[in-house]
Amino acid sequence: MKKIEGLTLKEQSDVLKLIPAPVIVMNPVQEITFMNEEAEKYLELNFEDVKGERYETVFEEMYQDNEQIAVQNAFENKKQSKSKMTLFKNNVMQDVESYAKPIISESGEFEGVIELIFDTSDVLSRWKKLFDQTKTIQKMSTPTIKLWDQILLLPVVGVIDSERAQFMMENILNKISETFSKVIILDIQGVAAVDTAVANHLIKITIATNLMGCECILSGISPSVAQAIIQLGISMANVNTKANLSDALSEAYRLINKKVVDVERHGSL
Amino acid sequence: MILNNEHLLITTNIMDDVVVATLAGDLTEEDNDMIIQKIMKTAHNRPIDGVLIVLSSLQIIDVNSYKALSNVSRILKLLDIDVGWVGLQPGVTAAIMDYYEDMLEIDVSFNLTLEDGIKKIKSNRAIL
Repeated sequence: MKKIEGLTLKEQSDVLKLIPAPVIVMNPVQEITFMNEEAEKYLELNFEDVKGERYETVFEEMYQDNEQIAVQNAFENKKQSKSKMTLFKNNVMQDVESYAKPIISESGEFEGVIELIFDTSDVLSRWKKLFDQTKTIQKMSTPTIKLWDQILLLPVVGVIDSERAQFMMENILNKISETFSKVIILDIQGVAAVDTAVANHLIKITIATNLMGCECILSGISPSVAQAIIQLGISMANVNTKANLSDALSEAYRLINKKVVDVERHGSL
Repeated sequence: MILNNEHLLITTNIMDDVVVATLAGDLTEEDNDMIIQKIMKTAHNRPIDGVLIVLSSLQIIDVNSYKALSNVSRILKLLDIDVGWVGLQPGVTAAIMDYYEDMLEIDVSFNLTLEDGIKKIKSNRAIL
Protein backbone atom coordinates (compact mmCIF):
# COMPACT_ATOMS: atom_id res chain seq x y z
CA MET A 1 0.00 0.00 0.00
CA LYS A 2 1.19 3.52 -0.73
CA LYS A 3 2.57 5.03 2.44
CA ILE A 4 0.88 8.13 3.85
CA GLU A 5 3.44 10.62 5.11
CA GLY A 6 3.72 10.58 8.90
CA LEU A 7 1.97 7.22 9.26
CA THR A 8 3.49 3.78 9.38
CA LEU A 9 1.82 0.98 7.40
CA LYS A 10 0.55 -0.46 10.68
CA GLU A 11 -0.98 2.89 11.61
CA GLN A 12 -2.62 3.08 8.19
CA SER A 13 -4.03 -0.38 8.73
CA ASP A 14 -5.34 0.75 12.13
CA VAL A 15 -7.00 3.75 10.51
CA LEU A 16 -8.78 1.41 8.09
CA LYS A 17 -9.95 -0.65 11.04
CA LEU A 18 -11.40 2.46 12.68
CA ILE A 19 -13.47 3.50 9.66
CA PRO A 20 -17.15 3.05 10.62
CA ALA A 21 -18.01 1.49 7.24
CA PRO A 22 -17.09 -1.85 5.65
CA VAL A 23 -13.64 -1.74 4.03
CA ILE A 24 -12.17 -4.56 1.94
CA VAL A 25 -8.69 -4.67 0.42
CA MET A 26 -7.68 -6.97 -2.42
CA ASN A 27 -4.33 -7.77 -4.03
CA PRO A 28 -3.72 -7.57 -7.82
CA VAL A 29 -5.11 -11.07 -8.35
CA GLN A 30 -8.37 -10.11 -6.62
CA GLU A 31 -7.65 -12.08 -3.43
CA ILE A 32 -8.98 -10.57 -0.21
CA THR A 33 -6.11 -9.40 1.97
CA PHE A 34 -7.88 -7.19 4.49
CA MET A 35 -11.34 -6.68 5.91
CA ASN A 36 -12.18 -4.42 8.83
CA GLU A 37 -14.55 -5.34 11.66
CA GLU A 38 -17.38 -3.32 10.18
CA ALA A 39 -17.11 -5.36 6.97
CA GLU A 40 -17.15 -8.61 8.91
CA LYS A 41 -20.20 -7.47 10.86
CA TYR A 42 -22.08 -5.99 7.91
CA LEU A 43 -21.39 -8.79 5.44
CA GLU A 44 -21.63 -11.46 8.14
CA LEU A 45 -18.31 -12.95 7.10
CA ASN A 46 -15.28 -14.00 9.07
CA PHE A 47 -12.09 -12.48 7.68
CA GLU A 48 -10.07 -15.60 8.46
CA ASP A 49 -12.54 -17.68 6.36
CA VAL A 50 -12.33 -15.49 3.30
CA LYS A 51 -8.68 -14.42 3.55
CA GLY A 52 -6.94 -15.28 0.28
CA GLU A 53 -10.26 -16.09 -1.43
CA ARG A 54 -11.06 -14.37 -4.71
CA TYR A 55 -13.46 -11.41 -4.37
CA GLU A 56 -15.64 -12.76 -7.18
CA THR A 57 -16.09 -16.13 -5.44
CA VAL A 58 -16.99 -14.61 -2.07
CA PHE A 59 -19.42 -12.00 -3.37
CA GLU A 60 -20.87 -13.83 -6.39
CA GLU A 61 -24.15 -14.58 -4.65
CA MET A 62 -24.44 -11.30 -2.78
CA TYR A 63 -24.04 -9.19 -5.91
CA GLN A 64 -25.82 -11.59 -8.30
CA ASP A 65 -28.22 -9.09 -9.93
CA ASN A 66 -25.86 -6.18 -10.46
CA GLU A 67 -24.60 -5.18 -13.87
CA GLN A 68 -21.99 -2.74 -12.58
CA ILE A 69 -19.66 -3.79 -9.81
CA ALA A 70 -17.28 -1.04 -8.71
CA VAL A 71 -14.46 -3.40 -7.70
CA GLN A 72 -14.45 -5.16 -11.08
CA ASN A 73 -14.41 -1.79 -12.86
CA ALA A 74 -11.48 -0.67 -10.71
CA PHE A 75 -9.57 -3.87 -11.54
CA GLU A 76 -10.32 -3.62 -15.25
CA ASN A 77 -9.73 0.10 -15.77
CA LYS A 78 -7.28 0.79 -12.93
CA LYS A 79 -9.41 3.82 -12.13
CA GLN A 80 -11.54 4.86 -9.18
CA SER A 81 -15.06 3.54 -9.59
CA LYS A 82 -18.37 4.02 -7.86
CA SER A 83 -21.62 2.10 -8.27
CA LYS A 84 -25.02 1.79 -6.68
CA MET A 85 -25.73 -1.87 -6.10
CA THR A 86 -28.17 -4.24 -4.50
CA LEU A 87 -26.72 -6.62 -2.00
CA PHE A 88 -28.48 -9.88 -1.13
CA LYS A 89 -27.93 -10.85 2.47
CA ASN A 90 -29.99 -13.59 4.14
CA ASN A 91 -32.59 -13.22 1.36
CA VAL A 92 -32.94 -9.52 2.15
CA MET A 93 -32.14 -6.90 -0.46
CA GLN A 94 -30.10 -3.92 0.66
CA ASP A 95 -29.13 -0.85 -1.32
CA VAL A 96 -25.45 -0.06 -1.07
CA GLU A 97 -23.01 2.32 -2.66
CA SER A 98 -19.62 0.85 -3.36
CA TYR A 99 -16.49 2.95 -3.90
CA ALA A 100 -13.46 1.13 -5.28
CA LYS A 101 -10.03 2.69 -5.68
CA PRO A 102 -6.94 1.05 -7.20
CA ILE A 103 -3.87 1.00 -4.94
CA ILE A 104 -0.84 2.23 -6.83
CA SER A 105 2.59 2.02 -5.23
CA GLU A 106 5.09 4.88 -5.19
CA SER A 107 6.89 3.23 -8.09
CA GLY A 108 3.59 3.23 -10.03
CA GLU A 109 2.84 -0.46 -9.72
CA PHE A 110 -0.72 -1.70 -9.38
CA GLU A 111 -1.02 -3.33 -5.97
CA GLY A 112 -4.70 -4.07 -5.70
CA VAL A 113 -8.02 -2.40 -4.94
CA ILE A 114 -9.57 -1.00 -1.78
CA GLU A 115 -13.37 -1.02 -1.50
CA LEU A 116 -15.56 1.04 0.80
CA ILE A 117 -19.23 0.11 1.19
CA PHE A 118 -22.00 2.43 2.36
CA ASP A 119 -25.43 1.10 3.24
CA THR A 120 -27.93 3.47 1.60
CA SER A 121 -31.07 1.48 2.46
CA ASP A 122 -31.80 3.69 5.45
CA VAL A 123 -31.12 6.87 3.52
CA LEU A 124 -33.31 5.71 0.64
CA SER A 125 -36.15 4.64 2.90
CA ARG A 126 -35.92 7.97 4.74
CA TRP A 127 -35.98 9.81 1.42
CA LYS A 128 -38.95 7.77 0.29
CA LYS A 129 -40.76 8.51 3.55
CA LEU A 130 -39.96 12.20 3.22
CA PHE A 131 -41.12 12.18 -0.40
CA ASP A 132 -44.40 10.45 0.55
CA GLN A 133 -44.94 12.90 3.39
CA THR A 134 -44.30 15.85 1.08
CA LYS A 135 -46.87 14.44 -1.36
CA THR A 136 -49.40 14.03 1.46
CA ILE A 137 -48.82 17.56 2.72
CA GLN A 138 -49.15 18.88 -0.84
CA LYS A 139 -52.46 17.06 -1.25
CA MET A 140 -53.68 18.27 2.12
CA SER A 141 -52.65 21.83 1.36
CA THR A 142 -54.73 21.98 -1.80
CA PRO A 143 -58.05 20.36 -0.99
CA THR A 144 -60.27 21.07 -3.98
CA ILE A 145 -63.75 20.51 -2.60
CA LYS A 146 -66.90 20.01 -4.63
CA LEU A 147 -69.13 22.52 -2.85
CA TRP A 148 -72.19 22.12 -5.03
CA ASP A 149 -72.99 20.70 -8.41
CA GLN A 150 -70.70 22.62 -10.81
CA ILE A 151 -69.09 24.63 -7.99
CA LEU A 152 -65.61 23.89 -6.62
CA LEU A 153 -63.90 25.48 -3.64
CA LEU A 154 -60.20 25.72 -2.93
CA PRO A 155 -59.40 27.26 0.44
CA VAL A 156 -55.77 28.37 0.45
CA VAL A 157 -53.95 28.63 3.77
CA GLY A 158 -50.32 29.56 4.30
CA VAL A 159 -47.70 30.64 1.86
CA ILE A 160 -48.00 30.25 -1.89
CA ASP A 161 -44.69 29.60 -3.62
CA SER A 162 -44.11 28.64 -7.25
CA GLU A 163 -44.15 24.90 -6.54
CA ARG A 164 -47.37 25.07 -4.53
CA ALA A 165 -48.99 27.33 -7.13
CA GLN A 166 -48.05 24.83 -9.85
CA PHE A 167 -49.49 21.97 -7.81
CA MET A 168 -52.64 23.98 -7.09
CA MET A 169 -53.09 24.70 -10.76
CA GLU A 170 -52.65 21.06 -11.79
CA ASN A 171 -55.05 19.97 -9.10
CA ILE A 172 -57.68 22.54 -10.04
CA LEU A 173 -57.50 21.83 -13.77
CA ASN A 174 -57.80 18.09 -13.26
CA LYS A 175 -60.71 18.54 -10.89
CA ILE A 176 -62.50 20.83 -13.38
CA SER A 177 -62.08 18.31 -16.16
CA GLU A 178 -63.28 15.49 -13.85
CA THR A 179 -66.34 17.25 -12.43
CA PHE A 180 -67.24 19.56 -15.34
CA SER A 181 -67.52 22.39 -12.84
CA LYS A 182 -68.37 25.83 -14.13
CA VAL A 183 -67.24 27.89 -11.16
CA ILE A 184 -64.28 27.63 -8.82
CA ILE A 185 -63.92 29.75 -5.71
CA LEU A 186 -60.35 30.40 -4.64
CA ASP A 187 -60.55 31.50 -1.03
CA ILE A 188 -57.35 33.25 0.08
CA GLN A 189 -58.54 34.28 3.54
CA GLY A 190 -55.75 32.20 5.04
CA VAL A 191 -52.99 33.72 2.92
CA ALA A 192 -51.21 36.14 5.21
CA ALA A 193 -49.34 38.19 2.63
CA VAL A 194 -49.61 38.71 -1.09
CA ASP A 195 -46.60 39.90 -3.02
CA THR A 196 -46.07 40.24 -6.78
CA ALA A 197 -45.14 36.57 -7.18
CA VAL A 198 -48.18 35.31 -5.27
CA ALA A 199 -50.50 37.67 -7.16
CA ASN A 200 -49.04 36.49 -10.46
CA HIS A 201 -49.58 32.86 -9.44
CA LEU A 202 -53.21 33.64 -8.60
CA ILE A 203 -53.73 35.46 -11.90
CA LYS A 204 -52.22 32.50 -13.76
CA ILE A 205 -54.58 30.09 -12.01
CA THR A 206 -57.51 32.33 -12.94
CA ILE A 207 -56.43 32.42 -16.58
CA ALA A 208 -55.99 28.65 -16.70
CA THR A 209 -59.44 28.00 -15.26
CA ASN A 210 -60.97 30.49 -17.69
CA LEU A 211 -59.33 28.65 -20.58
CA MET A 212 -61.11 25.51 -19.49
CA GLY A 213 -64.42 27.36 -19.55
CA CYS A 214 -64.67 27.63 -15.78
CA GLU A 215 -65.15 30.96 -14.02
CA CYS A 216 -62.74 31.63 -11.15
CA ILE A 217 -63.82 33.77 -8.21
CA LEU A 218 -61.16 35.04 -5.83
CA SER A 219 -62.59 35.49 -2.35
CA GLY A 220 -61.35 36.39 1.12
CA ILE A 221 -59.26 39.35 0.09
CA SER A 222 -58.54 41.25 3.29
CA PRO A 223 -58.14 45.05 3.28
CA SER A 224 -54.40 44.74 3.85
CA VAL A 225 -54.03 42.29 0.94
CA ALA A 226 -56.12 44.56 -1.31
CA GLN A 227 -53.93 47.50 -0.32
CA ALA A 228 -50.78 45.50 -1.03
CA ILE A 229 -52.04 44.48 -4.48
CA ILE A 230 -52.80 48.09 -5.41
CA GLN A 231 -49.50 49.37 -4.03
CA LEU A 232 -47.64 46.76 -6.05
CA GLY A 233 -49.45 47.97 -9.16
CA ILE A 234 -50.84 44.55 -10.03
CA SER A 235 -53.84 44.63 -12.33
CA MET A 236 -56.59 42.31 -11.18
CA ALA A 237 -59.06 43.76 -13.69
CA ASN A 238 -59.72 40.41 -15.34
CA VAL A 239 -60.16 38.60 -12.03
CA ASN A 240 -63.58 38.22 -10.44
CA THR A 241 -62.94 39.19 -6.80
CA LYS A 242 -65.27 39.04 -3.80
CA ALA A 243 -64.73 40.18 -0.21
CA ASN A 244 -65.77 36.96 1.50
CA LEU A 245 -66.76 33.38 0.83
CA SER A 246 -70.47 34.06 1.22
CA ASP A 247 -70.41 36.74 -1.51
CA ALA A 248 -68.38 34.41 -3.70
CA LEU A 249 -70.91 31.62 -3.20
CA SER A 250 -73.81 33.94 -4.12
CA GLU A 251 -71.91 34.94 -7.26
CA ALA A 252 -71.23 31.28 -8.04
CA TYR A 253 -74.93 30.43 -7.74
CA ARG A 254 -75.76 33.36 -10.00
CA LEU A 255 -73.30 32.09 -12.60
CA ILE A 256 -74.92 28.67 -12.69
CA ASN A 257 -78.42 30.18 -12.67
CA LYS A 258 -79.34 29.09 -9.16
CA LYS A 259 -80.29 31.05 -6.09
CA VAL A 260 -80.72 30.43 -2.38
CA VAL A 261 -84.30 30.99 -1.22
CA ASP A 262 -85.45 31.77 2.31
CA VAL A 263 -87.96 28.95 2.93
CA GLU A 264 -89.79 30.76 5.73
CA ARG A 265 -90.42 33.82 3.60
CA HIS A 266 -91.23 31.98 0.38
CA GLY A 267 -93.12 29.06 1.89
CA SER A 268 -91.89 25.47 1.93
CA LEU A 269 -90.55 24.14 -1.36
CA MET B 1 -62.02 2.40 -47.65
CA ILE B 2 -59.21 4.92 -47.79
CA LEU B 3 -59.59 7.91 -45.52
CA ASN B 4 -57.61 11.02 -46.36
CA ASN B 5 -56.02 13.28 -43.74
CA GLU B 6 -58.90 15.71 -43.92
CA HIS B 7 -61.31 13.13 -42.59
CA LEU B 8 -58.92 11.89 -39.97
CA LEU B 9 -58.05 15.32 -38.62
CA ILE B 10 -61.37 17.08 -38.41
CA THR B 11 -65.03 16.16 -38.43
CA THR B 12 -67.74 18.79 -38.70
CA ASN B 13 -71.39 18.80 -37.73
CA ILE B 14 -74.05 21.45 -37.36
CA MET B 15 -75.90 21.84 -34.05
CA ASP B 16 -78.40 24.69 -33.61
CA ASP B 17 -76.89 26.61 -36.52
CA VAL B 18 -73.45 26.32 -34.97
CA VAL B 19 -70.69 24.43 -36.75
CA VAL B 20 -69.01 21.98 -34.41
CA ALA B 21 -65.54 21.11 -35.66
CA THR B 22 -63.94 18.28 -33.73
CA LEU B 23 -60.19 17.97 -33.99
CA ALA B 24 -58.57 14.59 -33.65
CA GLY B 25 -54.88 15.37 -33.90
CA ASP B 26 -52.09 17.93 -34.10
CA LEU B 27 -52.36 20.71 -36.64
CA THR B 28 -49.80 22.32 -38.89
CA GLU B 29 -49.87 25.68 -40.69
CA GLU B 30 -50.74 23.80 -43.90
CA ASP B 31 -53.93 22.49 -42.34
CA ASN B 32 -55.39 26.03 -42.02
CA ASP B 33 -56.87 26.20 -45.52
CA MET B 34 -58.22 22.69 -45.24
CA ILE B 35 -60.01 23.43 -41.96
CA ILE B 36 -61.43 26.74 -43.19
CA GLN B 37 -62.64 25.07 -46.39
CA LYS B 38 -64.15 22.21 -44.47
CA ILE B 39 -66.02 24.58 -42.13
CA MET B 40 -67.15 26.72 -45.02
CA LYS B 41 -68.27 23.65 -46.94
CA THR B 42 -70.34 22.60 -43.94
CA ALA B 43 -71.88 26.03 -43.62
CA HIS B 44 -72.31 26.43 -47.37
CA ASN B 45 -76.02 25.84 -47.66
CA ARG B 46 -77.18 27.61 -44.54
CA PRO B 47 -76.22 30.66 -42.48
CA ILE B 48 -74.33 29.84 -39.30
CA ASP B 49 -74.16 31.64 -35.97
CA GLY B 50 -70.67 30.53 -35.07
CA VAL B 51 -68.05 27.83 -34.97
CA LEU B 52 -67.05 25.71 -32.01
CA ILE B 53 -63.70 23.97 -32.22
CA VAL B 54 -63.68 20.91 -29.98
CA LEU B 55 -60.23 20.12 -28.59
CA SER B 56 -61.19 17.52 -26.01
CA SER B 57 -59.29 14.74 -27.76
CA LEU B 58 -56.01 16.66 -27.59
CA GLN B 59 -54.05 15.90 -24.45
CA ILE B 60 -51.23 18.29 -25.30
CA ILE B 61 -50.64 20.98 -27.91
CA ASP B 62 -47.44 22.34 -29.45
CA VAL B 63 -46.69 25.88 -30.63
CA ASN B 64 -47.34 25.06 -34.28
CA SER B 65 -50.73 23.55 -33.56
CA TYR B 66 -51.64 26.53 -31.39
CA LYS B 67 -50.59 28.96 -34.13
CA ALA B 68 -52.63 27.06 -36.68
CA LEU B 69 -55.67 27.10 -34.39
CA SER B 70 -55.35 30.79 -33.57
CA ASN B 71 -54.98 31.60 -37.28
CA VAL B 72 -58.12 29.60 -38.09
CA SER B 73 -59.95 31.52 -35.35
CA ARG B 74 -58.66 34.88 -36.64
CA ILE B 75 -59.78 34.04 -40.20
CA LEU B 76 -63.24 33.04 -38.98
CA LYS B 77 -63.48 36.23 -36.91
CA LEU B 78 -62.62 38.25 -40.04
CA LEU B 79 -65.52 36.51 -41.72
CA ASP B 80 -67.69 37.75 -38.81
CA ILE B 81 -68.18 34.30 -37.39
CA ASP B 82 -68.11 33.83 -33.62
CA VAL B 83 -65.53 31.29 -32.53
CA GLY B 84 -65.37 29.23 -29.35
CA TRP B 85 -62.95 26.58 -28.17
CA VAL B 86 -64.44 23.69 -26.26
CA GLY B 87 -63.10 21.04 -23.90
CA LEU B 88 -59.53 22.09 -23.30
CA GLN B 89 -57.70 19.43 -21.32
CA PRO B 90 -55.41 20.40 -18.40
CA GLY B 91 -52.31 19.65 -20.49
CA VAL B 92 -53.47 21.86 -23.36
CA THR B 93 -54.46 24.63 -20.93
CA ALA B 94 -51.06 24.62 -19.26
CA ALA B 95 -49.34 24.66 -22.67
CA ILE B 96 -51.21 27.67 -24.06
CA MET B 97 -51.25 29.78 -20.87
CA ASP B 98 -48.46 31.99 -22.22
CA TYR B 99 -50.56 33.00 -25.22
CA TYR B 100 -53.50 34.25 -23.17
CA GLU B 101 -53.02 37.90 -24.24
CA ASP B 102 -52.97 36.79 -27.86
CA MET B 103 -56.18 34.83 -27.32
CA LEU B 104 -57.90 37.80 -25.71
CA GLU B 105 -57.02 39.75 -28.85
CA ILE B 106 -58.67 37.13 -31.08
CA ASP B 107 -61.73 37.25 -28.81
CA VAL B 108 -62.33 33.53 -28.66
CA SER B 109 -64.65 32.14 -26.00
CA PHE B 110 -63.56 29.18 -23.89
CA ASN B 111 -66.15 26.61 -22.93
CA LEU B 112 -66.31 23.53 -20.81
CA THR B 113 -69.02 21.80 -22.82
CA LEU B 114 -70.65 22.09 -26.23
CA GLU B 115 -73.89 23.29 -24.61
CA ASP B 116 -72.02 26.15 -22.92
CA GLY B 117 -70.40 27.09 -26.21
CA ILE B 118 -73.66 27.06 -28.13
CA LYS B 119 -75.33 29.11 -25.38
CA LYS B 120 -72.55 31.71 -25.49
CA ILE B 121 -72.67 32.02 -29.27
CA LYS B 122 -76.46 32.34 -29.20
CA SER B 123 -76.36 35.01 -26.51
CA ASN B 124 -73.74 36.95 -28.48
CA ARG B 125 -75.98 36.81 -31.56
CA ALA B 126 -78.97 37.94 -29.50
CA ILE B 127 -77.05 41.01 -28.31
CA LEU B 128 -76.15 41.86 -31.90
